[in-house]
Amino acid sequence: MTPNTFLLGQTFNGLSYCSILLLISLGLAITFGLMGVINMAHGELMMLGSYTAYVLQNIFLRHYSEHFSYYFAIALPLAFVVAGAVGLLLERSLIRFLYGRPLETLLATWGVSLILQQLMRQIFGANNVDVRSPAWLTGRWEPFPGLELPHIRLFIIAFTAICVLLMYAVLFRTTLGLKIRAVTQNRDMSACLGISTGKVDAYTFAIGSGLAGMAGCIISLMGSVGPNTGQNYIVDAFMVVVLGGVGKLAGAIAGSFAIGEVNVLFESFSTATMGKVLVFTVVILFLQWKPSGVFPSKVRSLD
Amino acid sequence: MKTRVANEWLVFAVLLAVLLLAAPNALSPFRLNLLGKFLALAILALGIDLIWGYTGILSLGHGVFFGLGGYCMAMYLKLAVGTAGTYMVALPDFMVWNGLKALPWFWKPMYHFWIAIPLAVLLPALCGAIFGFLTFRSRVQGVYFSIITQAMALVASLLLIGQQPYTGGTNGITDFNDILGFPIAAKKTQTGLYIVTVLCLAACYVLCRWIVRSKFGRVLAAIRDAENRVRFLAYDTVMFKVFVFSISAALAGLAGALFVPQVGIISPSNIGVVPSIEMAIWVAVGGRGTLSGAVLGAVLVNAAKSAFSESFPDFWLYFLGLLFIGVVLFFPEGCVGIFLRARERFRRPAKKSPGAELKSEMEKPVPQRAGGVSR
Amino acid sequence: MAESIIYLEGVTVSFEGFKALNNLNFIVDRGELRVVIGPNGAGKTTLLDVICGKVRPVEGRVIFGDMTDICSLREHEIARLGIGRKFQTPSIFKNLTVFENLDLAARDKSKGVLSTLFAAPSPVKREAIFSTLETIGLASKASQTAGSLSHGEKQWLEIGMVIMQDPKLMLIDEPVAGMTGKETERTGELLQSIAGERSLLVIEHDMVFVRQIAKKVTVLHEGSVLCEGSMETVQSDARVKEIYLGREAREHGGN
Repeated sequence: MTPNTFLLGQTFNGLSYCSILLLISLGLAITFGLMGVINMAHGELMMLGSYTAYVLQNIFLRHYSEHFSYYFAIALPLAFVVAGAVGLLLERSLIRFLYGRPLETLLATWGVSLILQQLMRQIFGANNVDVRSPAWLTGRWEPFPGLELPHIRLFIIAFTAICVLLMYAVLFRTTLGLKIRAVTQNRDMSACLGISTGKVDAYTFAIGSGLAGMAGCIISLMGSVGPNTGQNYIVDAFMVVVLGGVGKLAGAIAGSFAIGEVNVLFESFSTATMGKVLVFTVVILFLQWKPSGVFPSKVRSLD
Repeated sequence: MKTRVANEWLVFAVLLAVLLLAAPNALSPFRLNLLGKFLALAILALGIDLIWGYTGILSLGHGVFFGLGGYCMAMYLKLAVGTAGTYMVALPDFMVWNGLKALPWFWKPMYHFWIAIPLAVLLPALCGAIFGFLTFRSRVQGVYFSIITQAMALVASLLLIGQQPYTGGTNGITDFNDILGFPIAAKKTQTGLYIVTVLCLAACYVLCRWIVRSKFGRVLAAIRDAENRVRFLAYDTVMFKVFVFSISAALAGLAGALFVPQVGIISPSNIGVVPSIEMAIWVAVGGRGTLSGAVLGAVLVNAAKSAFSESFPDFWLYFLGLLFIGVVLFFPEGCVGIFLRARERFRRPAKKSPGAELKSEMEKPVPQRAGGVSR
Repeated sequence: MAESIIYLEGVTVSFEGFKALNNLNFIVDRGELRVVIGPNGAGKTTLLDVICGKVRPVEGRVIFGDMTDICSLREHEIARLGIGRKFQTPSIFKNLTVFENLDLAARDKSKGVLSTLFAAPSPVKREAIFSTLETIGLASKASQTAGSLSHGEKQWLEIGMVIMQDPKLMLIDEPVAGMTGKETERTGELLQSIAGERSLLVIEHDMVFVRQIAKKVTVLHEGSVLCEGSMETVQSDARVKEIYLGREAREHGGN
């Protein structure tokens, strides 16, 4: 392997890690970035997606083992639906009473995350479970000698790109997207114009949650998952949104790239944990330099 | 007003007497030890209430400061084992089995109790000041600040876990023998530790009371209500926040140092994201913005946790989760808050006549622009 | 000693492309009571924002008193120099009492961490606070929580806070918004009584009020000074009529 292919390989790994991070953060960018809702249970919604894949895998193994390679194609949309439904329930029963109170939402959703984690622990056991990749995802592509690109990572990158494009399409080309943008920018005015803000909130949150579910489904391909999987990613995801800038999807993309690549870079020099430490330091230092570039600027209000 | 303050100090004195004199005789050593543990955590809760209840800063990473203090004490206790450990060398056992040959430099000061203890308080204070300065100066506040403190807690626990030869890793530091020459497991030592904890709690309570009653405390309340406005009144709010954050970190460190000898172990599981958020719930349950609420909440919630893990370990997390939701939705003012409100109602039945209500309603202005009231 | 208390030279403030202040040149003399008027979006509040440090200009200088360029200073440093501001929506501390609000605002040798920690109650300051309470008519409500005051009372409390700051320049943003006619008149008298050694810069929309208190009026339009002079001069200026009354005349058939 030449140094060039090594670098390319590393960049590619970084890219696939960025994609995972982006997929997780995309949902968060919508619920946090657009709605201002801090959902600490976002990681658990992801975990639900992972477990959906797991359950479906088992069903297929037991009853439809000849068609096993198709299970994943069903798992992805199913994860979206399951996580989206739970998210919808969460929004209607809890979060909608807490709009405009982000610290309270943070605490309340943390409570929900504890409950969800324990629930999964009781149903599936405290240990991690394995999700097997379907045959079409194992294997590698070798565009030129020395550079091996695993199919899984290619799939993740492609899938994430599609999701991002879909999100942009929904937000900027559909009526629902228009309503979402209106409500998040000026709730009162939207209500005056006859938009059912309650419904829009519910849909927005459900979409963000569904994305988390799909992210969890994908993560289950990368390794074993368990009740704590959500916790492993949630802080990273929040860092991405905080760093990238709240209120713009592009911010989440930028943030994922920044944190993802920096993480992988540091990891190749030292250990995984040191990588995380360095990322955190970089974020703090970056905030020193560009705090107003990251956070929404308050133009005319006092507080 | 004067009688109310006098009443409060009376209650304080009575409670102190009960804790110091009655409890050691009435409770079994096991329960006394538990109470001592809870009271150490109450000191931590005081610190969190100072910054959250009084200044409006929610830190979800105070476990780090608690851990700094706790680890300092643990390092002292571990070194105090000397050559009496499993390996008969003057090196902590986990260092031996990790292949370390000599004591790392940052362990060396911890040989001395009278260095380790001040460090346990001053080191977190310093870290808190630095972290606070960096974040408050860049106007990071509200939820963003809370999220960053979470990241700080995560990073700290990762560091501790990753550096096993130096810190004991996931297992933490445990297996202590003596403290200042007294055998740590002995009933007398534990009672002594309990008494020291009670006295420290009392002292910290008085300190916090003094702080919040002073003009400084009113500036904090103003910062909580409308920080920008305070700036325009010629106060450098960053310095105020850094100072109170640093004090709360010091309190957390002290709590850690008192906690460790009573529990016998410190590990990354005491300092990460999860325990740090729990600390906030103690204060919320007890009553934010009331120092007694912080103490009460710390004792109540941790007592509940003990009770649950004795009888229904699986259900503790459900209970805790519901507590988080409940405190936010149904009783945001916490126990003490509810008590105070009820007391006000008993003391002062509704004075306003219906006419006065109407008049004050009419004096409210019609909003002049469609700016909306969303926050 | 300079004639002017505040001097904006070529100040431009831009919010994502929109120029709230456009190469603005603006002077207020010492001891003046100046009123700034203008249609919505003219830049009046931004003008105050720039002076008190809430917003930084992209270009230009802001000179306070004897050649102190305050552009680079932080808000609390500017406040300490002697600039006090009353904001558009009353921003008082709702969980503190009226007395405590004024106490916080009161001018002090030092407003640092240590001096507030060890602050001893001062009878002189107490006197000053009670005298201000009398002036703003809230003496009977000294120990009431500020959040429970009516809107008009909150406005007065904030004016009281600015008075307690004892500043050389007072920036007052829409002091009579939401007040009754009687309250408006009282506010006008109050402002006139505190002017004198102090300089006042007032933003208002209520023309009756402006006429009551103003000696010199500045009209802002699209971030620059359109016209300046006495109320009569300004009201009879054709350009002012156009931007104010002209539009209204077209839309509503007169004012």
